[in-house]
Parts: sequence; structure tokens; C-alpha cells
Amino acid sequence: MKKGEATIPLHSVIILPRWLMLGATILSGSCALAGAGLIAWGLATARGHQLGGWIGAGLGCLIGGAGGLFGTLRDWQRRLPAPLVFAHLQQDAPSTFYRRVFWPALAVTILTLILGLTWGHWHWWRGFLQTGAMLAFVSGSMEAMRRHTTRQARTVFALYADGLLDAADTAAIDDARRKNPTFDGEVTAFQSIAAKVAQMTGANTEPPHTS
Amino acid sequence: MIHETFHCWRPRLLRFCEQLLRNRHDAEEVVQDVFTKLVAQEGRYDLTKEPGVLLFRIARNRCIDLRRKKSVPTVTTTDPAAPPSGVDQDLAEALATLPFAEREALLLTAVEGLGYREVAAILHCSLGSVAAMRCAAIEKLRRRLQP
Repeated sequence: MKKGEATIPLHSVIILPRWLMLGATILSGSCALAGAGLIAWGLATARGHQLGGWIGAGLGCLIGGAGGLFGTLRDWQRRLPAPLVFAHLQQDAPSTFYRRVFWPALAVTILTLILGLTWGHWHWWRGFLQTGAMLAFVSGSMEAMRRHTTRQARTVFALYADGLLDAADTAAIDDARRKNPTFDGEVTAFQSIAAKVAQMTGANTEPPHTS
Repeated sequence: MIHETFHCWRPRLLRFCEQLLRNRHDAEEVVQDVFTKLVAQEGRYDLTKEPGVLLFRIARNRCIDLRRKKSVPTVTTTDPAAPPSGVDQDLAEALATLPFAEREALLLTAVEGLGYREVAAILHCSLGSVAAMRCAAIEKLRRRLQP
């Protein structure tokens, strides 16, 4: 690592990939807008007991979308609580549900979709399609969340081990490290391998003089 | 200016490209291309501020182009760059098995001694991505080197 590099405030680190951030923002923003549209449409056209349905559906979309939007924007730079960093990295592995369910469910979804589109008879495939899509979505989301958390944990861990976190963030992790000798060993091993790699090619860590 | 930059940065660029491509000949070709590009487009680049970021970025992009062109495998290699004498052979082999993105993040931070911000600028990614890739690379090295 560069000697004397300035510390990095953890809240300034972007954790969520930009494509995921953009996708989630568009999706939840559209949902919220659709909710507002449903309410407006209901107020303009619905009569009697139908109005309640429109407003209920609209409010559901609006609150859900706005919540999603708020959560996504907040999650973009949210930090994983320090004591959880090591715990997550230690237990990090794809869940059994994901490993067993995702690919078969995705295969069923794609297959039934192709069959439905080419052959028709949707009533035959509908049940399989809905179940497959639902299971693929749930297990896929679980895995995406796990990978996202792993990424967060790795980011925090690397910055900490390289001594680049702010004093407040470092103090929180130092505390967790003191209580857990295994965590301390992990940090030391990280630093030792980083040093070995640096020595491997006889690297000069000082930038050359270019003036 | 370019002459001076060439003498200052060539060894580091060569080392980085050699480790990344695992091939000395290709690495020399890439470094040659980097400086040819600088000479050909002299007015376009400002070498007075952060020349390292600029040079490593051009070199890295050229390495990716070359890798695509030649379909250089990420894991195995037919012409491995021989590590310097006295170097931990196991570590060199483990480093060669890392995915390309993780290897370049690790080489730039650990071997070239660049800061996270500089590496993020070179790799066109966020600072968090650099940290996550560095951590993943070191984790994999550790697992491979465990007896």
C-alpha cells in the first residue's frame, strides 16, 4: 500500500455496484410513480366502492416504491456494523436453498415460458411458470444479498487491515478484534500475505521521482 | 518529458504487465505501445500530474486488449513469467491463478504500492470495489497457500 495514504471515511465508500443501484432506483421509483398514478386515476374515474380499491392499490405501490427508493439510496453507502464484518466472512457460503433451488427453478421458468410462447395452452404451464419464477426470484435475491454483504464485509476488512479507516471506525473494529483472537489472526494473516506479495517481485513501494 | 517518464516508469510498468499477462514478451510489447501512444498523442496527456495513474491505466487497457486478442487464459499459462530468484514459488503460482480483475487490483496496491484512490482511477471502479477485490484476492491466496 502507498505509504502515508490519507484515511478513508467508511461512509464515503460506495458499496453497492452502480448497475444494481441504478436498476433498483429505476424499479422502486417507477413503482412509486405508478402508485401515484393509480391514486390519481382512481380519483378521476372510479365511482363508489371502486375508489377504495384504486386508492388502496395506489398507496401500496407508492409506499412500497418510496420505501424501496429510500432503502436503495441509503444502502448505496451504508456500512456493515463492525462486529458483524468478521462473523459474516467466517460463515460466508451460498445457502443450501439457493444451491438446490435456483437453477432448477430458473430452468423450469424458462422452459415453461418457451413452451407457452411457442405452443400456447397457457393453462397447462401457468402453475409451473409461477412457482418456478417465484422460487428463482426468492433464492436469487437471497444469493444477491449474501454477495452484497460479503462485498461490504471485504471492503471494510481490507480498509481496516491496511490501516486506512477513520479513527472512529478503527476503534469499533479494534474492540471486536480484542475480544476475538481468531479475528486478530485473520487480520495478521491478511497483512502478512499482502507484505509477501509486495516482496515477491522486489517491489519498490515508493513512487519514482518524476520531476 | 516523455523521455524522462520512460526511464522512471518503464521498469514498474513492465513488472506490472508481466505479472498481469504472465508473459515477458507481451509485457514488453504493451509497454512499448504505451510510450508509442504517448509520443503519438503528446499534447493529449498531461504527464505533470499523476503520471502513474495515466500510465498504468493505458497499460492496463492495452493488457486487456491483448488478452482479448490472444485469448490469454486467466489461470493456466504456456509461457509463465519467471519470478525473480529467491521468490516464493508457491506464492507466484497462487498469484497466477487469481481472476484477472483481482490480480490487477492486488498487483497495483501491493506490488506497485499505489493508493486505493489511484487504483480506483486506473481500474475505472469505486474505491469499495478496489478494497473488495484486494480482500478477495488475499483470501484466495491464503487458502491456496495453506498447508
